[in-house]
Amino acid sequence: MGKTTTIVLADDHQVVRQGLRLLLDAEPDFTVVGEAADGLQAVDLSERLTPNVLVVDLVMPGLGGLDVTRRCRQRSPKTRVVVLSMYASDAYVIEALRSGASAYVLKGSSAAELVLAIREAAEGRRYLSSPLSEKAIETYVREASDTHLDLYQSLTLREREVLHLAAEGLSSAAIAERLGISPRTAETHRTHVMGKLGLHSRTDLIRYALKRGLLPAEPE
Amino acid sequence: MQLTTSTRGRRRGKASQARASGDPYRLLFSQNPLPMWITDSETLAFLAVNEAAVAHYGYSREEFLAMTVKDIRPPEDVSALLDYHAELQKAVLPASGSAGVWRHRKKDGTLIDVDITWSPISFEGRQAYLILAQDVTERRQADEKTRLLQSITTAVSVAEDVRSALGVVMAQVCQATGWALAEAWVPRPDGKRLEWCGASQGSDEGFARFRQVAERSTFAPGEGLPGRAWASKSPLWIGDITTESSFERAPWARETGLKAAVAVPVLADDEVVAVIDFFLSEPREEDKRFVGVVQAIATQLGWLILRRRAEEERRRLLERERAARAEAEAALERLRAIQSVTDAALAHLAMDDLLREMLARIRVILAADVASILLLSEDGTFLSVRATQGLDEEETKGFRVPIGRGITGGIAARREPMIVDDLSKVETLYPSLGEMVRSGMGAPLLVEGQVVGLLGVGTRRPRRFTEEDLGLLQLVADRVAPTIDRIRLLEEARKGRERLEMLSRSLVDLQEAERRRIARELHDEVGQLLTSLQLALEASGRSLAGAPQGGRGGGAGLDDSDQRKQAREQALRSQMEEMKEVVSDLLARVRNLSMNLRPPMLDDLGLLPVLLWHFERYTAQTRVRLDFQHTGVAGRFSPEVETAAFRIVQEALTNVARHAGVDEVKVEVWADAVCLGIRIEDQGRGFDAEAALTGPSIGLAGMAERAHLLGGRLTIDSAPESGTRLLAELPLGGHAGRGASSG
Repeated sequence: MGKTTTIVLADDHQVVRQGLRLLLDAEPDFTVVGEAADGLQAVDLSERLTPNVLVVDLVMPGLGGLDVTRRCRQRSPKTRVVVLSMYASDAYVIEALRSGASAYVLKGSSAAELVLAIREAAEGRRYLSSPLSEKAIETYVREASDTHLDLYQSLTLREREVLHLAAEGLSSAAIAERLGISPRTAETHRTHVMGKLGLHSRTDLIRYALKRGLLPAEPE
Repeated sequence: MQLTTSTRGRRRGKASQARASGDPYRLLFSQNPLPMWITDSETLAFLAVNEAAVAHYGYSREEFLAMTVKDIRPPEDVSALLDYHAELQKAVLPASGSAGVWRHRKKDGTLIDVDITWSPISFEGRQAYLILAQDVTERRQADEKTRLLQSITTAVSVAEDVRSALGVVMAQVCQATGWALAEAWVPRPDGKRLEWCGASQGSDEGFARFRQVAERSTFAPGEGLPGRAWASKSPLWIGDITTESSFERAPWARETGLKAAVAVPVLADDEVVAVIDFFLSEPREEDKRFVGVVQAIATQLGWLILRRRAEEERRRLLERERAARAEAEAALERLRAIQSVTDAALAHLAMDDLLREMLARIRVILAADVASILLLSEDGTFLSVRATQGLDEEETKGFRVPIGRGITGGIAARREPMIVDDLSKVETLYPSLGEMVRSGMGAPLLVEGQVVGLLGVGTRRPRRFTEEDLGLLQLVADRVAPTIDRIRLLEEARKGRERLEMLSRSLVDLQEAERRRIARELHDEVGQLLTSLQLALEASGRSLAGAPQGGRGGGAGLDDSDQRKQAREQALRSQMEEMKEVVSDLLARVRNLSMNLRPPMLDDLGLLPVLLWHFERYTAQTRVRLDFQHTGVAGRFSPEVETAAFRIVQEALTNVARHAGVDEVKVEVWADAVCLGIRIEDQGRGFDAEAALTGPSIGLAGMAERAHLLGGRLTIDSAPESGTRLLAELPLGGHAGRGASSG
């Protein structure tokens, strides 16, 4: 202990900056070395002053808090970022963390929390405001990952018909004849379905059809 | 005067004779160019003949003087002569004058016609007749011929056909010439044999059998009497058929007593068109005169036939020309009618009147009972009846024919016209139609090769429409297609305008409603809190100023006790706590308000985060659980797409919460290089999707419009009691899944 943590504050509201400054000045081991009113300034200051911690508001004009975080982490990797935000949503937290932030503090939290967050961040640890939790984060991450979506289910009846016939090898014209639709419509359906399922060639189509069991058994 | 006829005088010669007698008038008799003689009025013996008589008749003077007038007559005429003479004697007849035309026979047997003029004279003491015999045979023949020809010509020209003309000829000739029977033969249509074509009315019943045989007979060229005349193209005379071996019907001829026969070909343009043969009841040597007459007649007949043919030909050509002209006019009329179906005058009519007028004209052109125009739906999947005539409009109102289904749908899918001979025999989508219309045709209405509708006509009774009819229908269809398309486009445009107006109106309403809501929320909730905050601040102010709570008076006393100071501090602290809470509350509400209007993470973080956030709040608010599946949407898309996608999901879920009456909803979102798709499904109450999309409720219409504006589409498949499936697809225009820039 006894080490001073240098801090740069970035928030577009002067009132907020003043308030924060007051708060942080009250701590003996904190020194606010700079204030920025917009994102670009924040990045600039961080680069120049290389503070231990950058406290940045998520919502700022010009460069937003997330972008500031990213750039700052790039240009001055030693600076830890604490994101201040009024958004309690897990999405923002994830994004902030992904952008390189060490801590995420809700604006409604107490002064003590902010101080704690800065201290933790300075130590290289992660801190999340109390309403937020790691668990919630994990849940969110899970939800946000790709689920296995069976796009076949999202095809209309007509599209499925076209898919089956195309897999059997019929041309668009033949498909049109079979289904009693115009050749143009048949072609549109075919292209659409192939695109939707990510199939780019006949080989893809056949492979897909086989995998899904769309093709009838081999004739004798 | 005395004329001697003694042989003695003969040697002296005529002139000397005359000189000898010294009678100048003697020359009048002897040298007269016309035959003259003197006969005894009683015995009719020749008393004197002149040179001309001798020369003409071939008898010598001696022979003459040995004969009577009877001897120069054909035997059959003798009785007539005697009768005449008897009358003469009785002086019933005039004293002198013309005795008319009689037949005489020359020494060589030739018959001549002679015009007799006579007068009584006294000769060598006897009562005698002086007779002038003018040979009028030729003239007679000519007259006869002319008369015969004339009468035949007249008769033939009015005859209906060759057969009756021949009949006239045969009858007239037999009558005029006394030949007993005539037959006519004509070449068969195949030209190989002659066949019987009629006969004159043989007076004798005996001819009946002869005729019967004739009716059955045919002759090849060169065969039999008619056949030989046919082949040789010239008359053929048989003096006595009963002795002619080549005459097949000889036995029957013998029965009937026919003897002489002649066959005369009738030529027209050097072609034998008929052969007429004549029969006589007695044998006769070839009578050139008779043959000549018949030939002349035959020639006339030939010419007549030729003329008849020419006339017939001309008549036929005229007829053909008339028919061709009539057909051309009919075609022109049809063309005019087709043109009239869409003439300029129609342009001024209102849509429905125009269609009605067109259909009326179409019915006339095609002589149909029913005519209908069907139009393709906007999404191009089915046809519906736009206008009809001849059918009850109510009956056809709900007709929906999917492309490719049924006859009508088939015509539209194949883009080929078609005839249906019997609607009752084919499977139709609407059996009631088969009851009203029995036979019909349909032709697609094509504009730039694409089907925009269908034109159909039908008849109540079965009718065999021909390929020509179908061609006509297609012509009419091609003609009206542009007009119909124009109607369709105009209506689409009108509908589009109406929808736009409706949306605009709704938009304005919505804007106002939202403003109202925000205003109210701001006033009620935020305003309230701010007011209470204001009060609290005032209270704090008073506390600071030293005014005790409750409003007990007192100024800022210098000698405030610690106790009072502490109480004041306490009051301030609690007030501040209160204020902090209010502010906290206020903050929360303001943020909530803001979030409801437009969540910032839509702009900051993207579609997936905002959806996840929204779903959490939604479930918390409505108790409806969400089964969310997604793939490929982790990145960023264009702001318009993200916004549209979010709003669509938001609106759809709102509807589910409000109307579906379920506690679970399935949401699928996916994206690939080409488009972003959303699928929301619930097993709830369902609703009339079509009414919702086009009706006044703008929620769904607004969603559809958002999709539409981005070039995508939104379809809702729902019906009462069968759940709802919403599918939206937004094209990504190549800027797919812009990933968040990594840090």
